[in-house]
Amino acid sequence: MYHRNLMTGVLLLGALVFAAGCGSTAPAPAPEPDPTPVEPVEVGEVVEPPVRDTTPVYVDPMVAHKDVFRAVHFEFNKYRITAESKPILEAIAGLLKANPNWKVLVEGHCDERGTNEYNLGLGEQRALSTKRYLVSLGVAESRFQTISYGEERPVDRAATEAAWAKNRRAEFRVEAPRS
Amino acid sequence: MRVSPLLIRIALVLQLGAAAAWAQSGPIIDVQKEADRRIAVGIDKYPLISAEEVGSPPGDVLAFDLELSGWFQAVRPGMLPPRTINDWQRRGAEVLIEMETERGSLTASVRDVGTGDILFSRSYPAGRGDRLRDRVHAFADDVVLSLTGERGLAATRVLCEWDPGDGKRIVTMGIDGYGLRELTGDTALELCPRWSPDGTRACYTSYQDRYPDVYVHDLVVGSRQKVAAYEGLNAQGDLSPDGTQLVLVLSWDGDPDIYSKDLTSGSIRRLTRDSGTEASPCWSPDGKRVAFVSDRSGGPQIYVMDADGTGSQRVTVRGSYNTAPDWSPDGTQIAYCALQSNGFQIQVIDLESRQTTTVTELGGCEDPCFSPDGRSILYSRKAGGRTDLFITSLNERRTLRVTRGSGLYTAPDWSPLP
Repeated sequence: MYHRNLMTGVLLLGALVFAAGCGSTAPAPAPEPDPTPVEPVEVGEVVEPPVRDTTPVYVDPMVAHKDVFRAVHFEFNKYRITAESKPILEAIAGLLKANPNWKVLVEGHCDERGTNEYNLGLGEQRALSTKRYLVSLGVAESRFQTISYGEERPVDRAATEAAWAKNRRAEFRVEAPRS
Repeated sequence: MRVSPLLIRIALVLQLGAAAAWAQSGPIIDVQKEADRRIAVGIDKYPLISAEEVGSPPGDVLAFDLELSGWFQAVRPGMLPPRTINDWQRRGAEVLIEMETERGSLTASVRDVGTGDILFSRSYPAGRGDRLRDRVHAFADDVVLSLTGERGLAATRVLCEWDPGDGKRIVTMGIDGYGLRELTGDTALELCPRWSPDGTRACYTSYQDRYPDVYVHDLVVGSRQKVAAYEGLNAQGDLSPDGTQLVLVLSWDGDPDIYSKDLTSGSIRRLTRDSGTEASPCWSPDGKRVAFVSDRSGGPQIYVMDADGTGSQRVTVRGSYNTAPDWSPDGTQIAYCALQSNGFQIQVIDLESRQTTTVTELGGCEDPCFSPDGRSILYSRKAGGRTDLFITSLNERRTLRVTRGSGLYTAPDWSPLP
């Protein structure tokens, strides 16, 4: 809605600039008829102003494809892609290649067991190795950003082996321009 | 009556001209020779001084400050408060602190329990805008200086991460954990704070603009500047001793490596080139070398290199997981966090002899940082659902707890002396 209005505005402006450019070389065009006069609004009359369009410029393909954009998990203190992660990343690569205007943010995370400072680097390595694997499957590298949260954003705060395994992960955020 | 030779020396020198004497003749106590011995100092409850105005019971503030200096051991009143100076002597006190306030002005003195002589006395007038607590701190540091010739640490501060439950942010507080203040008021995640060597600026990582970027925050003016926002990770900045260079971790080139950035020209120099993980760069006090963490040999270990990235040498050889290095103020030792069979412990390695000592015992200890005098280590310890800051002295392994408030306290950095 907002975009369409903006586009109309841009086209109108282009037409005006074009008309002005022509004016300097061609004979003066016949004056256009006045646009339809706007009915004056009487004070007290009920009006219906357009509601501001608050939908984002970008849509989130995660909503429709959350079964594809699943987190991939890692071994303790490691950032290599595991055999279990490969089919997940292959499905993600397929969807990304079919939608070349989508941008991808890969978030790397750690469990709480390492030291905070070192885990910030380890989380980044997990994001980067996930990105590299998707690039090796044919997704353009320029479409990626990475972000490491170290151990600051666990999905499960329990101090158990199961919770730690869930927290050692790379997650995806995908944005697509609104069409 | 037992009077220690130490106190006879104090008394003799001070009779010559109180606190002015040490300035002319040097320290009153030879602190090198007495390094294994603390002066027993009687610290009363001072019920006439408003605990509300100080922020805590005044005796507790003084006891923390004097214990923190490393030269004193507090003797407290307990259930049966001593009434006379002889009572204090029977409790083992060698000197006694007397304090009183009048309209916010603090008058305080140290008395030799053996002779009854006043060793040091001074008034701290109100009205300069500082709190009564700051005047107690100032007196504590004067006691340390006048009796030992060494500077006390009561006026130093801490930068650390604090998580009240919704994520970490950078805070400052006194070294006694009092007066916690958030640096920015942002709700974004903030990590890895470090003081500039002159104590006027803080360097840290903030996710304020979604990605981890490095900021330098002017603590005097209260404004900050984003100094690194490259693709990928920008983290763990540390300002050089002259304040002009920043070492930090960047991952724009495909993996986390150490770089230095000239804050005047903006030029960036690569210091490591590894496919592994580099982390936690930290300037040596002379600005000639940088300690850091690398997993180039497998697990993370401590390394040292020259400031231009050459001459890289592995420092830690034992253990599979050694991280978070910090140089001692004299540059001869590095403290770090080591994974042991009983959890994460703080260790110190001597760079010359390569001798390693373990400072902590209980596990869950991280992020060590030397005191400005090099005699203690400040660190965080995770235990029983809390994470708090503690200080352990290196020679006697006496531990002081710094934080008691709500939330989790991590990644502390000890300010330089004011």
